[in-house]
Amino acid sequence: MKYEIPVGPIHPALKEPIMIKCTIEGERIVDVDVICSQNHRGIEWIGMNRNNPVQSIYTAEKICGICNLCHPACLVIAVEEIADIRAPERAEYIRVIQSELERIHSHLLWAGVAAHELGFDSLLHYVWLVREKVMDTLEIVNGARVPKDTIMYGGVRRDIKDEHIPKIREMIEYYRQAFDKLAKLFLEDKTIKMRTREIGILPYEDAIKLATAGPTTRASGVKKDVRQDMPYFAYPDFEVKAITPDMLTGKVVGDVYDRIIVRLLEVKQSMEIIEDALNNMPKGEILAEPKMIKLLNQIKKAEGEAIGRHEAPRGEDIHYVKLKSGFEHLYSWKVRAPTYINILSWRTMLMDMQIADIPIVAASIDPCMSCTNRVIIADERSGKEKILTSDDLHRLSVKKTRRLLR
Amino acid sequence: MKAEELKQKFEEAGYEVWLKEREEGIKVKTKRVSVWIKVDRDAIRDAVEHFIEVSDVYPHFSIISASDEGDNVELNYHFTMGFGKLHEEYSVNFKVAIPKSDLVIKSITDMVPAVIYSEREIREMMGVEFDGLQDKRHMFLTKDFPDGVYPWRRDETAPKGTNKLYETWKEGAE
Amino acid sequence: MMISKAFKRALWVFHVNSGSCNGCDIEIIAALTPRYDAERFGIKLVGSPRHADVLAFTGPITSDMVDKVKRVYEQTPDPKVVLVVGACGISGGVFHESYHLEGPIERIIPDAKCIYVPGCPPRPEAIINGVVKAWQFLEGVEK
Repeated sequence: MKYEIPVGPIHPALKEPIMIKCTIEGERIVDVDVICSQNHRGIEWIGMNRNNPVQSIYTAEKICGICNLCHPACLVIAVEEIADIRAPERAEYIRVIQSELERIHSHLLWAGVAAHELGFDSLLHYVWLVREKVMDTLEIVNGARVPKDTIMYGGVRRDIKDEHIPKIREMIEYYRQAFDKLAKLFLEDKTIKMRTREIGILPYEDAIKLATAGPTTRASGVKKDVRQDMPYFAYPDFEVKAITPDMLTGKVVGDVYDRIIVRLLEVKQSMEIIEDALNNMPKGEILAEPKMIKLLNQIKKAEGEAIGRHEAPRGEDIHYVKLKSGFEHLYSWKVRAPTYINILSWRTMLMDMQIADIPIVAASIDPCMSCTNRVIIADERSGKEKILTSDDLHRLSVKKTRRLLR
Repeated sequence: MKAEELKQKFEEAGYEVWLKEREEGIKVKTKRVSVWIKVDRDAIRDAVEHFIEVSDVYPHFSIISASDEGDNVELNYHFTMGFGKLHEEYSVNFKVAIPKSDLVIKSITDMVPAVIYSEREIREMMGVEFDGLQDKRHMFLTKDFPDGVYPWRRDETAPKGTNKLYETWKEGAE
Repeated sequence: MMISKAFKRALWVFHVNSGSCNGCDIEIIAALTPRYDAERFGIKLVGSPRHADVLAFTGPITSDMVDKVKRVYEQTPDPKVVLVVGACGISGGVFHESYHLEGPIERIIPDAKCIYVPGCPPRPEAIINGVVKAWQFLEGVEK
């Protein structure tokens, strides 16, 4: 007998609204469907009809509040290619540092959420306490905790000044010390291992066929990282290597545990990149064209199309931009966020799993939108509906942890 | 396979192909290469099939983008190739123009499964019908979004009467 | 001293994301975690609107979320306060004029008592201040 469980679209924790419909047989999930119209705000339409290209940078920043550098970065890469604008050397280095700071904050945020989904709330609180250090650094550099508002066509708007550098180095030192503890907590803890090993497996072939991106695909052993494959900004100087779980454990399983490994190692990699960038940062200008009106005119005259790609914390981010000469707005603008392509893999991951695994498997791709609010179990035979709240679902998850511990 | 080889292979098959390059990097210089291929509307399945055939690894699908070109709707199928090696990836883009009088194109979901969300999105945003697409529900627009309104179009089917919130800030406005 | 009274009634908050960019949402969680630690005042996030005193809305209310927002509001027992976190819920923010928005929140639920926390996103301190304002209203300090 089959049941259908709609999961979503409102979640009490922090993620965006989305609805996952799971068909189950007993405890086993046999089909998954995703409905994601709840969060559509028509941002591409706004960029194509309301904003001028500079205003669109700030709208692009509001596509996602967590990784709010990756979308403007993509837009800027594409427009710079069309209008043939080159950012000064120092600006490219600052862009790299900002991207990596964002990656550290996003991955730590995810680690906390994953701990919460497993019912390990003390770890959530610990990770978010550790994360406050990078938030402080972002505030020192950008003037605000969350929005960066720093990227601009032909450079960046704010310099990383000499007095910021010791603060950033202090942060790296802090994380170097915290890293071993975090790695021990996440990788050696018995409970986490039991709840994540062999859960939500995405095999190598499926990862390629479903075109997944970012840590989700790297955890399945696909060595795909835009910073390595097709570098932009100052990334060619750093020779970034795509991180796969076999670097630590010697094997690739493609489960939730592997995704934790990849993200933890990427935090370490980001720290190394930031340190490297601080040591080698060239001096000079940070903006190619400080006069906004001149810049706007230059973009307005440009004509052509290009794609901008950036490795966001969640995966590869792609923008397609088309400009027409004399046209006020972006003529065409298509945004592809990593979650857009990654949610396809939920089906493969959730197949044959249990209901209690939905939260952690759904969270394991680090969805930019996800939720588990009301779960309605419809009994086809009796026609009765049993309503479970997200609390119940969370409780099921916690129960499974306890059961496994016994 | 390098971008030039792919260009050659597609030219041999009779397609119009051009390359775009941009230099990146400060100390180490690399090039970001993109291959653009013009494809007839009816030939999209053949082109993608040819692409999968000639490439040594399975191509990584990114997205379909669309723009309204007056009488035509132009679709771009974006793929990437050659990942996994240092600085060797390039993007491959198929350009298809569909006349507005007959907005139909064949679906490629059976060849590239990841394309399904994109086709559903283009269908609701641009009004392009995909022949062979099984799932015809709305992807990002709400269930009761009016028919015949396509947000990305630049003609009379574009959305009107949008939520002009800023006008409430004006003095005397309702 | 007003703050001691706060312990008389711990406020439970239900968080509804109605199309937000996540910026406000992560700041709400940041307000609850150890640095700001709003949980020591008894402020906590609950998993059901039926347990909540305060509804924290983020985001500009997309067309698809209108009926859900109304339903969540109806499910919350009286007395209740709506906490609108972020510029989007107040005025649409950067997303104003989009074809897929029905907001702001006062158009969807006109009879709600709203407390606005402006900012894009507001700092965790501002969110805690908003909850304190909600408490003052619910305790009858401020009508």
